[in-house]
Amino acid sequence: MRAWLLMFTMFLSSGLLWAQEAVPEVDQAEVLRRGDLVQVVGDGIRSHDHDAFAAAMGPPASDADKWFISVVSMQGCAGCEKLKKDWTTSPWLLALANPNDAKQSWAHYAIYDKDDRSQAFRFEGLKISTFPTILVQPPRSKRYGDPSIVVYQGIYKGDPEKLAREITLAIRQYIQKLQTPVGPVRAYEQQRIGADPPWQPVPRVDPWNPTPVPGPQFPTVDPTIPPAPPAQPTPAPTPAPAFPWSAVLTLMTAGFSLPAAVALVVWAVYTIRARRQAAGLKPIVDQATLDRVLEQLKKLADQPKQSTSGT
Amino acid sequence: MKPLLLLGMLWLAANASPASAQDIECPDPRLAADLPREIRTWFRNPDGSCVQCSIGMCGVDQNVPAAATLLWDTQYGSRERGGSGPSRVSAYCNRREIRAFNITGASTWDWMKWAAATGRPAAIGAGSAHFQTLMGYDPSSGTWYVCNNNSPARIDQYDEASFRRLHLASGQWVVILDYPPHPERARYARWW
Repeated sequence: MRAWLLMFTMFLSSGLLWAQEAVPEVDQAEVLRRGDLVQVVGDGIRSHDHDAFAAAMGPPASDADKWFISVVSMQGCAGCEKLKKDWTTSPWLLALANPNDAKQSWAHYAIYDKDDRSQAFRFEGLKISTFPTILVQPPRSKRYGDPSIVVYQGIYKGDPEKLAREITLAIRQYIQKLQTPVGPVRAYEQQRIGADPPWQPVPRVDPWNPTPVPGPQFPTVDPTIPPAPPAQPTPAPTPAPAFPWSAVLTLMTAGFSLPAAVALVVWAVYTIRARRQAAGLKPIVDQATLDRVLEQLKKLADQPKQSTSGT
Repeated sequence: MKPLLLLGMLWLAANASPASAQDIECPDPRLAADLPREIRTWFRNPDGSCVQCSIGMCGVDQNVPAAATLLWDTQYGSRERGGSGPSRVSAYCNRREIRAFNITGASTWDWMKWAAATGRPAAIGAGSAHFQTLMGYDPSSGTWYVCNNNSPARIDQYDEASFRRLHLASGQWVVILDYPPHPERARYARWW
């Protein structure tokens, strides 16, 4: 009996405690009074227009297929301010994301401050040292693969069209890769590349410094994802050989000499080749053929003079 | 008397505790919200401000500083402490220019599922006269993930029936911030 009395007392006390908490925490009576109601608040002209927008309505359409565009900025950064401003006015950037109308925006757009401790964890895996840095990630729906993958990373140099073109190009290339059977999306998840970014690292210190000259200045380093394709290696120009004066003197003083003639021929070949390369023209013969010809000429020049006298 | 008492205690137990005690932590694909434990603990309920604690967590998740700082005095406004109803939420959201859906009634279920499916958390009525943060919903298993601002270090899991009781216990009221969801934690992968 005592045990039951104790339990009953505990039950009553917990009920009283709940009753005390119920008063201040949530106004349940108002919830009941409101009934079925969806109120849209805090959005300019819609804010107090209760009658017009308080009608019951269902949730909006899903926006889980939208791409993510994140701008990582910092305080006191002229380039960051210019980008924010340009993104509200440039038709090139508005075509990608509309900061003033999230519902009409093609992509989810958000600005993050590098010093905001509440958001820092989102970009811990990235190397970002220049601001503003723009990041593009696939939609949450996974329709275009793993939504955590950085499809584009770049900085802003004041040209909205260039930035927009870079972003769209990166997305196009990414989607093309997704559609190729060789590289399924799952494979990307296994290809972590660790701490080394796949593009030229940015400087540790932001090169931007305020100057008396009005107008923003932009960093000169431009890390991008995807990285630009490597430039085609250009063959080293063949140095023009010195004129073989000794061969000419030999020919003039001693008469015809095969080594001297070969030296003149070699000089002529190298001179013509160097001039064609300097003019951007293709050499008449490739390097391997030339080497073989020169080898033959060298052997010819090195042959000892055959005796013509009989025995 | 005894059976009634026993039934009452069972009912209390069912409503007061999560259906599952399996650990789950951010980030997790089953969760819509991505709030590390350290950040969630900033929103431990200090003084009966459960509604603002829940909305504050949503504010961090969706990068809305005016909502994230509801509990404190900042440049976004004076602290909002103590209990709230839909009218008070509406008032301070207007004052701080926080765009939000302030939903009461039967449609809260659809809105909660919409929020979870689109990667957004929601501040929801959960428990008797209490507000908590909906962290996610897994329709395949019928599991709801909820963070209680009285125990923010953990994420509780409820099956459909338990969650229904939990939500109804407070009255059908949900607040969802009208902002884009957070992006996934970014990482490099050689896709090109």
